[in-house]
Amino acid sequence: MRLTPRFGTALTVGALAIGVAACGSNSSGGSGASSGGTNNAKEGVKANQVDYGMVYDQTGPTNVSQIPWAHGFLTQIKKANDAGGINGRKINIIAADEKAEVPTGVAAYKKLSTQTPVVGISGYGSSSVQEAVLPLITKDNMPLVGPQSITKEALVPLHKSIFAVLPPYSDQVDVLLGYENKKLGLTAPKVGIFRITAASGIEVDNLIKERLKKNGGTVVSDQEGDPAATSADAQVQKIVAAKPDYIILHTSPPQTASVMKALQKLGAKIPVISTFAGGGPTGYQAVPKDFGNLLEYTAGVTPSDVSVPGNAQLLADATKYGYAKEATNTAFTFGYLSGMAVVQGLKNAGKTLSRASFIKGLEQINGLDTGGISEPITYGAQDHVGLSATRPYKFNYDTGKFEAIGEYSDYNSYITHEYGG
Amino acid sequence: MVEFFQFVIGGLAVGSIYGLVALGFVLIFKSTDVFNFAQGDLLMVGAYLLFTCLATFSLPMIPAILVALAMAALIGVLLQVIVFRPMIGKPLLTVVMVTIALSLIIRSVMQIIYGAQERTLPSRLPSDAFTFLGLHISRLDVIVMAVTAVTVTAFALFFRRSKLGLEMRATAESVEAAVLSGIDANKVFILAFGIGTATAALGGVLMGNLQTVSPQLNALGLLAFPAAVLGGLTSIPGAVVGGLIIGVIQQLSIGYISSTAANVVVYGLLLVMLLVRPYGLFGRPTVERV
Repeated sequence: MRLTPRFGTALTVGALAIGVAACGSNSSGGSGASSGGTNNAKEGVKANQVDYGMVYDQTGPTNVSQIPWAHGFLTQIKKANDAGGINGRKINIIAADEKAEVPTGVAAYKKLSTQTPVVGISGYGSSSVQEAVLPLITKDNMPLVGPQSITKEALVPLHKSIFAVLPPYSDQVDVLLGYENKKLGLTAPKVGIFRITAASGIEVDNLIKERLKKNGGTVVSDQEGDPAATSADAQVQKIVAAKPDYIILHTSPPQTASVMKALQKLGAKIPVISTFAGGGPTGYQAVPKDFGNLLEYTAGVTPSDVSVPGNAQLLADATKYGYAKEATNTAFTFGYLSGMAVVQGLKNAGKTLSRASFIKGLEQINGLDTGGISEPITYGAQDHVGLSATRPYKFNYDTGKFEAIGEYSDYNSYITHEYGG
Repeated sequence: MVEFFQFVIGGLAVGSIYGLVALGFVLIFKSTDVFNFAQGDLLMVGAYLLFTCLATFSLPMIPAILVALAMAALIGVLLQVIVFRPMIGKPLLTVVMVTIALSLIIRSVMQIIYGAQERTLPSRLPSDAFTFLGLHISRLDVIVMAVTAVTVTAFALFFRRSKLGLEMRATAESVEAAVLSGIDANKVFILAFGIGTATAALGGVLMGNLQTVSPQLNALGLLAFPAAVLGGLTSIPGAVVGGLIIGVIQQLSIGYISSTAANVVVYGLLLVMLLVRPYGLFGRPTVERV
């Protein structure tokens, strides 16, 4: 084989191309707007149809959790359309792939705000992309409902058009620290952190440090990991060497699995508690029971294998629309609730639909019953948080199901509502 | 010092997998002149094939691995016959672009079939750990390193001792001369793709045990690329040594600097290597007569 300059050029071009391909290029899916009598076409509202945007990571490094989120969301939209639509209009979803890349996410927003305009958008679950589009969303007053990951910048100060469904990170960290400290009987815990290399990772990191500084405790090791990394061995080794009382995770489920495997490898039996992001079955399935029992996670929604009326409906809906395999995923549940809030907001907006009336419709949501999947969702003119209540979960290896640790109300006293709500 | 060696052991384990995937790169490149950028995706295919054998067909682990590797080899053969054979004689850049297109297609097809959600293998190779000289060593890491060592030794012997291996080496040196001396070049090309794909799939099988099975496994191909370049694109032992070096450097960088810095170090090394010694540590420089 001859390694000639021509080969070198081709190799370099190839390397660059594969790198770009791995990060992704701009593309969008979903159907375009159809013709028909216009009502408010500049905002995606037509006589018999309303165009609604969905922007999520379809082909990038976080699609593992964002695709189930999208399918949960679509379940509610399909259900509403099958019931005849909302106020005489069918919801037409225009989907775009943000690939967890800022330029791609911004381009998707511009398309949905003007080229194929929509009445509102759900998604933008990649925190870095979300932060990048916030100035545009705020400027245009574009409704953004239920991102899978909601950053501080999206909630503080109050943005008129942004509505969370997931409890904000400040509330999650409040419960996570309060619960773990009480469980272990600690007043000044030594904490190890493993977090994702994204905006939300920095946010969670800062929230933990602020609370420990205020209430007592120290971060003895602070490690980050790429969501596409092959191993977490080195980071976990650093954390274990720092001898923390417990480890806090804010990462993807595959990375949770890597962390648990690394703990098993090092024989380190240290309690681990994760935000919702690293929750779900993957971390538990990755290791045997004696290490899996070290892991707990907090979430604002009840896993679908925990018996509540809302979950029975969720499973039936997921099966009907072909998403049964994803119904056990917490991200699917978040999408399902986000879709529920959007449908209710559109209903409340009435027949004269616009982005402004949709925002008012969302603000009118008061005690939206999720059948026990979460606490009821409530917004107001000055409250766009929606849900704050969060509780811990753990996996029961004997029954093969998740178990809630107490009721949501048991943990409300920990929540400081730093971002509102 | 224990910490340092613990990082090194972790690096050798993941580096072994980078080495296996790089080995696939080299096997195909050495024999067919095709630098297959879809190698990382074929690794992912291997992991999903194992998942299917274990979860859908409930095969025991070892037969499941063998079936997955055989299926991967078959996929490699089909790719050569359907996609790469018509590319023979086409400009190098065209072939590179075809492999990139193939990479995107494979990734999308796997996502359509299996969905984006990560999967955990229903049964796995033993992963408990033991202590040796104060170091925690996972049995799975030992298995990964042993499999890599056996594979590279087998291939080294195959290329040096077997008739087929010698035919592949001859074809790699000059297709025209090989054909004139009676070697069936098409057979060599098919074999190279079959073996190269099975090698990548073996990396996926091991990675599926180390981590989870998800579409993100294809990102490993990007780390095997610097491994192949570092070792030398025409050297079989070089590919594995390159993988081990990349794995160790990556883990030390994460441990002593940061996760983000590890990418800078690894790909910085790739750039330096391409600039200073493009034929790698074990490759041979060639001069083109003009």
